[in-house]
Amino acid sequence: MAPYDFAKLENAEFDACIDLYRAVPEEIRVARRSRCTRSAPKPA
Amino acid sequence: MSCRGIEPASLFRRAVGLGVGRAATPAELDDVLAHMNARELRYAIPVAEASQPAALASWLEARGFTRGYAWMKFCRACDDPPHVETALDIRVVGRDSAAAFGHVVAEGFGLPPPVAPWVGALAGRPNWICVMAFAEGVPVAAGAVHVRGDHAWLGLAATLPSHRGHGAQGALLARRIAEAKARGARVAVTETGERLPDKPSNSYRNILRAGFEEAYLRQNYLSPATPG
Repeated sequence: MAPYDFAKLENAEFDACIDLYRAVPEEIRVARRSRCTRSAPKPA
Repeated sequence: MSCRGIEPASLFRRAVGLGVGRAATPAELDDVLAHMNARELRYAIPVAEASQPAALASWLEARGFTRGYAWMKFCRACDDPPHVETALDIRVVGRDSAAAFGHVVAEGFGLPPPVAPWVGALAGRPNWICVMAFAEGVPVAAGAVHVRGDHAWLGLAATLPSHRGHGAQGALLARRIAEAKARGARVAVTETGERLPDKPSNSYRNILRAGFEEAYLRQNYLSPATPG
């Protein structure tokens, strides 16, 4: 299916990871993500 | 993102999105490293050939980072999902199967017990479709797809050791592509470890069989053993 959009492929994984980390139990959470990468909505 | 006590670093402690969409600067990189180094745990920074700027990899190497095990990124159109014959019962599961979903993923990956309720929480969560394979009513394999906009990310694919080699993952890939298409996704995305002679390649083969194409290799740069 080339050509692909690099940023869109990366962001598909990135979006899933961000939401996955919103579900992390507190006991294993030490940080959600770096503040230096793209901004994301605050966890619900 | 950083999880303490769960390995590998390339999966559970990594800075994602750096150099994607716009070029990172040395100051931003050092800010990210300071944030991650404060955890005093080894972590990874993924870098692909298209990451910006092209010097990002050399900046990391200059800061003591070394190349780890790279991942291959795959993509395919969601049109025409593959049809896979299987004796397994393939089902989309919801919250009532959260414990089973979490257990299969954690057990299949050999991850510690706290991961099970975490991953299980994805069953029934908005934008996530969790799919499981059952053998005579017993859950034996699992996988998830996250759909946002026209792209769908497939991940968390695991099979219990007792049921590997029976085609569960091929069937789960096919079902997740179909579910993503039904929710409006046009492109499916996934990744697995680079194919190397000394590494298992079952996932890699399953992904290719499901019609995915290799898009690009993404290196995982590992922080020095004692960050900071």
